[in-house]
Amino acid sequence: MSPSIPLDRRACLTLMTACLGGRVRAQELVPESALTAALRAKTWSPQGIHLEVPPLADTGNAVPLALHIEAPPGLSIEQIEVVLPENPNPLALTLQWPQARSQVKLQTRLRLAASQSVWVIARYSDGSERARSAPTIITSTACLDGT
Amino acid sequence: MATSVLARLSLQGEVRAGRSVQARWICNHPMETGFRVDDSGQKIPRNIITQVQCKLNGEVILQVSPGTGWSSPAFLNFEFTVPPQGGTVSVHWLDDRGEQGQVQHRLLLSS
Repeated sequence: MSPSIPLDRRACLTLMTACLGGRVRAQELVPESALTAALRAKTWSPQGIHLEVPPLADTGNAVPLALHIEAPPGLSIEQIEVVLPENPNPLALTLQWPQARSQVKLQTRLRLAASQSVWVIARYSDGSERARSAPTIITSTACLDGT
Repeated sequence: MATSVLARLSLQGEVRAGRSVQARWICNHPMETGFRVDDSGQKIPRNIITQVQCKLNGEVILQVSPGTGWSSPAFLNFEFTVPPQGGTVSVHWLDDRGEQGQVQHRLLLSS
């Protein structure tokens, strides 16, 4: 009995994609966390936030992150959160400047459990928030699951 | 409490009054996430840096509360403005076990 549908990988992916109503592209077949979806659903303005992460990092153990944030005119930066939605503990860093700063520059390194978007959420002195994300692909995870 | 964790603080840029300089702090803390197991299958307890304070002449200029998503060695490169009288920049850290450490750097004004 020969199968009536082709069974190579590409054809299977196409078929699965078609079954999902064509909404999901083949590269997005890995399920994303609820937090990723929740963050993407927000309508934050990305203005004034510049972040740099490598598009492709070898390991998730130390992924460099460069931040340059400028507050809107008349406001100062109160707090910045770095969120990694696919990590077991998504809140990677909370940064606070007790003195009023209208712009900050910072570099650090993060640990990533999976390929994901790195989110930077800035809160200003009037309580408003802005955020920007940048995707990064990692080829091996920072060993977080004990295997 | 004495600690075996080494940290280092260095400055980049010309130290002149009113100028902005970059301070680079690196700390070889293990940043144990608590997710790993040792050879006998026992969970290794979490031990990460929970608080970092960057101070300029004793005043906190930047406070960092890391989670398990911070790398080991911990690395931070921050910016500050050199005060007219110079002084000292220092970085203090505290971890889950209660160990703490500090490094400081004197600001020698070049005129």
